[in-house]
Amino acid sequence: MAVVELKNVSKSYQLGETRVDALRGITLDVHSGEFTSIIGTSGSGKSTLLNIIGCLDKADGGLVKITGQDVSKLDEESESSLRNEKIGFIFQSFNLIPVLNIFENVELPLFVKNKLAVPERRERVDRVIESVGLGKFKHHRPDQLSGGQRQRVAIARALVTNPSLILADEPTANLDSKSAHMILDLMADLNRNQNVTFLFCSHDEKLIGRVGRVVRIQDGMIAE
Amino acid sequence: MKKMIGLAILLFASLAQADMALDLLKESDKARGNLEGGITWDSEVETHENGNASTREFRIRAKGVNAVVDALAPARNKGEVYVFNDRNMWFFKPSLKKPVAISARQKLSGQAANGDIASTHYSRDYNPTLEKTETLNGEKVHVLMLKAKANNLTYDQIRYWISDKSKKAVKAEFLTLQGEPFKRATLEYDNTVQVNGKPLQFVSKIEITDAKMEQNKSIIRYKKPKLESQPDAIFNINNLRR
Amino acid sequence: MTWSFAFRNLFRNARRSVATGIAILVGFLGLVLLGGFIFRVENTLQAQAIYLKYKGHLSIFRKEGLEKFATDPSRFQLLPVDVEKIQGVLKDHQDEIDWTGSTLSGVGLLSNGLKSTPYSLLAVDVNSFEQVQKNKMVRTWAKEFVTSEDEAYAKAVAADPTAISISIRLGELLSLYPPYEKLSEETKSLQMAGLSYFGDLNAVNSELRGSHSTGSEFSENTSLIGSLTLAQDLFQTEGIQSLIVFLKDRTRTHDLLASLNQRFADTQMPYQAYPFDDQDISPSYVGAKGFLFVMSGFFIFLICGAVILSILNSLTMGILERTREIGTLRALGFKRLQISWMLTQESLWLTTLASLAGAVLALVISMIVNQVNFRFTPPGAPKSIQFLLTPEWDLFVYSYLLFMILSGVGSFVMSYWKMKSKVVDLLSDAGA
Repeated sequence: MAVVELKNVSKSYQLGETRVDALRGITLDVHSGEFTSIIGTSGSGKSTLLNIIGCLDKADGGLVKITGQDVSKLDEESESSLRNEKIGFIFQSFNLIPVLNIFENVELPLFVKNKLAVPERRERVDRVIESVGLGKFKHHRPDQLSGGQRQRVAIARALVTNPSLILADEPTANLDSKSAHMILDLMADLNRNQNVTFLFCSHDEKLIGRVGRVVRIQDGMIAE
Repeated sequence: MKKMIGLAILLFASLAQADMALDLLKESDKARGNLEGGITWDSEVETHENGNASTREFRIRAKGVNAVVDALAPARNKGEVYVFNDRNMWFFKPSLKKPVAISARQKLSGQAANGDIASTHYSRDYNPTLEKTETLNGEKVHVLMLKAKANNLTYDQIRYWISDKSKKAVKAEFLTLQGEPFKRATLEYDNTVQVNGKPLQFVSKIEITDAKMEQNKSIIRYKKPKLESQPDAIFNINNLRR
Repeated sequence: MTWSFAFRNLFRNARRSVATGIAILVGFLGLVLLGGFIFRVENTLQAQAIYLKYKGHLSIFRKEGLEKFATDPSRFQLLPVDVEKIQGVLKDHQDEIDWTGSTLSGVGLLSNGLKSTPYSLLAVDVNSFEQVQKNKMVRTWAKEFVTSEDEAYAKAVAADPTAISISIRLGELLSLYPPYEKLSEETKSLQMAGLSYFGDLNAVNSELRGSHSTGSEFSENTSLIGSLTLAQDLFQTEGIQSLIVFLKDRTRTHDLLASLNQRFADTQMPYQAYPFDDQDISPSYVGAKGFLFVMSGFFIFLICGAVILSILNSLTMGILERTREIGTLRALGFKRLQISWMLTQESLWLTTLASLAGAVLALVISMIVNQVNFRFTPPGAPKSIQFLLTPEWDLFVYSYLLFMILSGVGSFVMSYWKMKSKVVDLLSDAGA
């Protein structure tokens, strides 16, 4: 079963007095365990596509299914639940909460449903932090870490709910090249060893060799 | 010149009228107790108020501007005394250590005020003007407007009907400062006293009625009036103090 | 964890948090001190209305007696047989009643043997004079109104029912000047004249044994207080004008009122009970209380308005600055309600901390002010009282709860409304 199924998805928005067609008839499937990058230039629609897959925005037309569920009819609350349980997010600017330490940042998504008992929750968070190599830093605050370390925290946070899919919007854009490669290595490692499905977008052509699948997007359409 | 003569005539006429009014008033006072030498009489005050009737009896001894009123009945009032010294009035009873200064216009019983019970001195206390002359019960009467000279008198203003023939007051309207009648009275003179060998008609009944509620009234009946010399000491309030 | 998160967020813009906290603190202080002031004045006025003016918590008249007694006292008085019937009804509430008394009022002339001047008499049974002097509410809240002269008068009238107390201006009209105990016995002997219920003029001896102030221009020329016995002697009656009932618990007034009037109606007894806070029984108390109510309502409105605006302003700034963070939380799966609650917790923290500081400051300020002994005269009071701030624990709690509700509801609604943007728009916000 495809984790993500898109059929003829379109999205447009108003930019001042102009109507912009960000996505035009996108059809795309992403399967479990894939390590996929959506490559395109600025304004190609890649971020819009990622936002629709992540249920951060709604498509104007077409079918969007996440883990087999049609998300077009979901209300706000259901979308939130879906995001919390099925999707992990990694942002370009890390988007960590500055007043929480690393442990607390990673733990945050588990408080949405609060299903786990405290010891179980703690154990899971510790495990995930270890898996990104930041075990020694769990009581540090984000401003005490480097860019690369912060993005690793973001990855840990995305992993902690055992999502079906992790979406990353330009995860290496704010990092130096060494840190960028380290992040990609980590993501590849997680994909290989833990079968984590990644879908990320980037404008960096250099990443093509590092991913398992490349989807090119141009002017709102998948380029063959 | 003609104007001045006219004014002089008017002035003379009004002065003459004022004199006439005062003379009428002085004459009418005599029949209501204002006699030199002293006079005594008994009064019965029958009061009808808000459907209740009551009667009080007094003995009045008057001399000039002074008077002493002793309450005779009912029994609970026996021993009470009202003393009139000119315009000052006092109330006393044996249980009191000192007399109480009271006012002529306060209620004595029903519609009768304190100042109504003793002799009247309207000619001393009021400035009379002649309003008009008219006929009342077939009799020619002069209607006088009396305005109080002081503010501690029984009434501020009185409209007074004096018979031209008998020179006695037959009707009165007691007015507020604003000129509204609040009480009315009719007077009868069936008593006679001998003054210097001559018979003088004396008041026998005054009926005072509330102007708004005519069922509320007091009837003062004057009985056994006679001229009698009174010692001055009885009118001295200090003689009443314990 | 969210409480801890909310607490830490207060320090993200410490300056703004402190400024908002100060606004809340000042508002809390204002509420508590204003409340304390009003509490004090209200209690003083009540003590005066119920006890010092001898209205009791309840006054029982013959039906229509309240309005018509003055013009037709003999018809609208309560005779001994009426009092007995009323006492029979009151027996069922004996455990709630402190004591009952009787009043009789009238007008007449007070004379010193040379001249007279009008008086307006309030006559009360001797027991009520004594009870009022030692009453706890009077001693606590209106002790400034109970002078040594009042105490002396209460003792004097207990020994001699002809003892009277007059207002100072009434005395001046008779050329009598305090201290009255220095006057000769002859001078102190005054006569009270009035119309008996038979309609005749009557007078009785009285002994001047006290002076008092009424606090009202209107009555200061004529006020005379005396014993019930003296008044009944003067007016030649065994009756009274009203039965006054003093309760142990002030809060029971209206319940008991309803019960009594219901019983009077059911048994067709021609009596009517009134509470001390009836407009016709205590017009000056009702007027003063109305004034206090309006004034305090106005100030509470202003205070709460200022505080809530400060909180909402601070919250709005916080949301603007953290729009992207809010978007992140939404992306992670937090619902709008959950995030609104997190933001509300920040406001609640701030309100709590500021209120605590406000409470401490209120106690300190009260201690200082109460030491200084400022004085003022409440409306309708005969003399000045000390400006006392008496913040009660109830006030602290209610003020805190009020602020918590205002800040909680306001913050929740504001934050929920502000987050109505799409998640993608929140995430792309550059922040304030």
